[in-house]
Amino acid sequence: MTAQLTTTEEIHPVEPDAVLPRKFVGRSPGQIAWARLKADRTAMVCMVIVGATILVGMFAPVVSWLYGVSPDETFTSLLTGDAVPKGYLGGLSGDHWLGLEPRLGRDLMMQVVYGIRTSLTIAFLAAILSTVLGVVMGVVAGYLGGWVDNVIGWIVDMLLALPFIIFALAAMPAIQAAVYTPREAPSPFFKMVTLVIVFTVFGWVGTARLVRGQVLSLREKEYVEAARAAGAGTMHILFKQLLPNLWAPILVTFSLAVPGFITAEGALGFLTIGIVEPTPDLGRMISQSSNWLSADPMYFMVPAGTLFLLVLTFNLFGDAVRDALDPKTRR
Amino acid sequence: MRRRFAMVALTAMTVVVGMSACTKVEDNGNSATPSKSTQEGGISKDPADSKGPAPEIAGAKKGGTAYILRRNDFSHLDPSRQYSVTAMALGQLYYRTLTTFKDLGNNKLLLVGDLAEDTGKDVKGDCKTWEYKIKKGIKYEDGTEVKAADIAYGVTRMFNDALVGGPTYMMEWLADTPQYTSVFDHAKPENKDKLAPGITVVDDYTVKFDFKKAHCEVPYAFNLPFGVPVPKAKDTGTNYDLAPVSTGPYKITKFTKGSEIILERNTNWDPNTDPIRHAYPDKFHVKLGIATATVTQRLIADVGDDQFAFTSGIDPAQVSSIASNAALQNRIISEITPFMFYMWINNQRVKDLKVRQALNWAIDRDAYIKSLGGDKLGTPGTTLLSPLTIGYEAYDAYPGGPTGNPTKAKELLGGATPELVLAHGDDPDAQTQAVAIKTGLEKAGFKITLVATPADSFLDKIGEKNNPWDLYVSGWAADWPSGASTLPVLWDGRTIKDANNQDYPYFNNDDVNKEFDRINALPDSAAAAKAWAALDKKLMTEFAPCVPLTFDRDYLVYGSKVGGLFESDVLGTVAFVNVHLK
Repeated sequence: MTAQLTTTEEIHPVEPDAVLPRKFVGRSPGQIAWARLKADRTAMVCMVIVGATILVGMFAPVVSWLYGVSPDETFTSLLTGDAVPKGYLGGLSGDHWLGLEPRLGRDLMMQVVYGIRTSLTIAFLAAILSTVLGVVMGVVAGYLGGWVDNVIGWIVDMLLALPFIIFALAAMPAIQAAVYTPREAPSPFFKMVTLVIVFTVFGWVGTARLVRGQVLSLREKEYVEAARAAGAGTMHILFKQLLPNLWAPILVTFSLAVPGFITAEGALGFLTIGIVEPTPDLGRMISQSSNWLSADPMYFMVPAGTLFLLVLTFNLFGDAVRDALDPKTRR
Repeated sequence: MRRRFAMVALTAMTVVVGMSACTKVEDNGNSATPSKSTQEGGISKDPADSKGPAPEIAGAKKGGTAYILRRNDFSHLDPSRQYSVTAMALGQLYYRTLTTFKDLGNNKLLLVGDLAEDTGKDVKGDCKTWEYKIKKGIKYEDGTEVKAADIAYGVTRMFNDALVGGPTYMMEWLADTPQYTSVFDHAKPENKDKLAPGITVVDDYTVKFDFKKAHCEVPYAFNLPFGVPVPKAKDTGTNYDLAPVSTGPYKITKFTKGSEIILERNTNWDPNTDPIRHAYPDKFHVKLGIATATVTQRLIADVGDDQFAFTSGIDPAQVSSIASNAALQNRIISEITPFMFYMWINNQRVKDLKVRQALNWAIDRDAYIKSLGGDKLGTPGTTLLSPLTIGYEAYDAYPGGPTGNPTKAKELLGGATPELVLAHGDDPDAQTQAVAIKTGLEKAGFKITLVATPADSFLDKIGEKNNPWDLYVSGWAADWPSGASTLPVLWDGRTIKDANNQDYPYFNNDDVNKEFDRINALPDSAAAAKAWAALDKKLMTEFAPCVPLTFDRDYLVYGSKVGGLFESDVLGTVAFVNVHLK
């Protein structure tokens, strides 16, 4: 991270010309955090990239329409007899900006664009669901304590002890078999939902532990005792008194969970227990292309580079959000 | 620190991408040769063909150590338990079979006697009684002579459920049932000194086999390791796998499981009795446990002992880089193998002949071959038999060209858009291949649903009679190059059972079944070969029971000082019998 920037920023928290007129204006913690975030160059660059990838993922069909190639189209005539794209850099051309896949001859850019769509859909859904579940369980366990805390603690311990990959390996086909007959191909959406469920089942425990710890220390604070003395109910204390003070850590875990799930989805794809053909998927592309590293390096570089960039920017952005919300965590 | 790391990573990426940018990939034009039109040869009628020694190879000299690099151990060294082609290729170095193929590589296969003086005598002319005379003077590695009783014992010991892994035709034919150990079980103590049913030792050099039904392909079957002589005194049952006694030009002097096998000269082998083996190198050293990608790179690098090395399988992903490397072109084997791939059509579900024919018109074999990894790994196939089958006739009943003819297929469908389910293994390669097939068929108006099923149970699932799918792809290799070991096995509807089927298309037609019986009983192997080729064409033209996809190809690179390595049309892998070192 940029150590140089940090010090300057702490001396001048806002832009110099804005300092005078706002001298006596009070600012909410949110505004302060946003100002800090805006001053962080890495964060802003990452935010732009993250925003752009989200847009590309959301509007993948529009991109495909503008680009004029669908992700399923195969251009086998542009491959050599050895199934490698003809020309330079894996078949790079005006029609195919990132080249072609060896073997099937599909357009690599459309595969990556739709792959991003798959990755982000799964990662965001899983992050939202697991954060919500984690927060609720964490708050309840931390505030109520006693047997409720014990039971939730057991569940958390059990899930942490369960090997995730093996569970996913066993659960995915079983869930599919329960829903579809052997003659039906599961819709891509169903595969994604299954992955989201599997991720959520395992993903909430981290957030729950974190939130529980925070709640344990917060519930002894004076304002909570005051609320209790004033006769507030449990629900009121949980969601009106405690939750607003938990937003910072929750936001941070959420922003770091997204790249975590992107990697996990990639890993499952790499192990061929995730999304199957013909739905494009970055992890599966990487596992396929690693064999072709010597014959067609671009085939590997494009999906691997995309996944790398995606995870890196999401992580850096998550870090920046944490720094902005709580400058004390900065080293 | 972090920034420096980022710079290093960035530079590395630029270098890798840059390197590939320097070379323009072009179609190198040396695409695989078209499939052979006919396979000549058959069963030798002249005992002179079975005499040794094998004709010298010009320029070959004796001596040196040849290295075989491999990842996996051979499943078995015990001849009776071998079925894998690479194990049998090694087996040719240390054991001999009753009959063997003189494989001249150039479309000519001749079945001759190896241990036997000829290819066997059909005593009564009804294919039910076969007599074999053993050559005199054949010795084990310890110098004792091989007698007819050893051959009889070699077959008999295979009637044992503990000694499985090998082919089972001979036991099933002798016992006249697939459950051959229910008729005779050599594992039972009271059977220890008996011979299996139907086997008679006539004299020291003559052994006779009596079958209940006519089996005209017995001479071919004895090319497989049935009846490889085993000295009864040295038979240690399952432990025989560790130290089989040699009858071939080499004996196993060291065997460390998973690590190495060393074969050295067997001085008791007489080249004058052997029609096919040369034994030029002094020693064969098999090195096991090397990753296939590493084996490939070592053979490309060609350094030190690796110059004398070869393998039987390289990393398919490196094929295109080998093919585009001009320096390697004089040490490459690129040959068709007896293995074939079909897209089976489930005839129980797809009953409309027009739909099956339309599938044959529509198939895009070019895209399928590219999805396999290119034309070094497969050649378009339009017949049910492999071109390496004796008597093979090339034909294309649905000449849609390399990428198929969707227009013709649409005509046949007459505006219908059949919805078919294509099942495939869930491994990434099978997924890729399924996409290639789907894309081609959908151009002709088919609506194809891809269903991924676990790859490890895929063959079991499609072998279930009531499997729910319409289309599925699998491979098949004949055990010997005759139509009898392909057509009836795959298309005889009377063999259909509830599970473990081999007739994956579930094709059953009484006329065709009768034809199978008729050809199987033809004593003249040349006439039978012709009849099989005709039936092959009839099946495809009249019934279109499946879509033949490709004839598999082997693509290999070997060390620069290795000579005489050739792709065996019978084994379906490289044969070692002619290997000599430069």
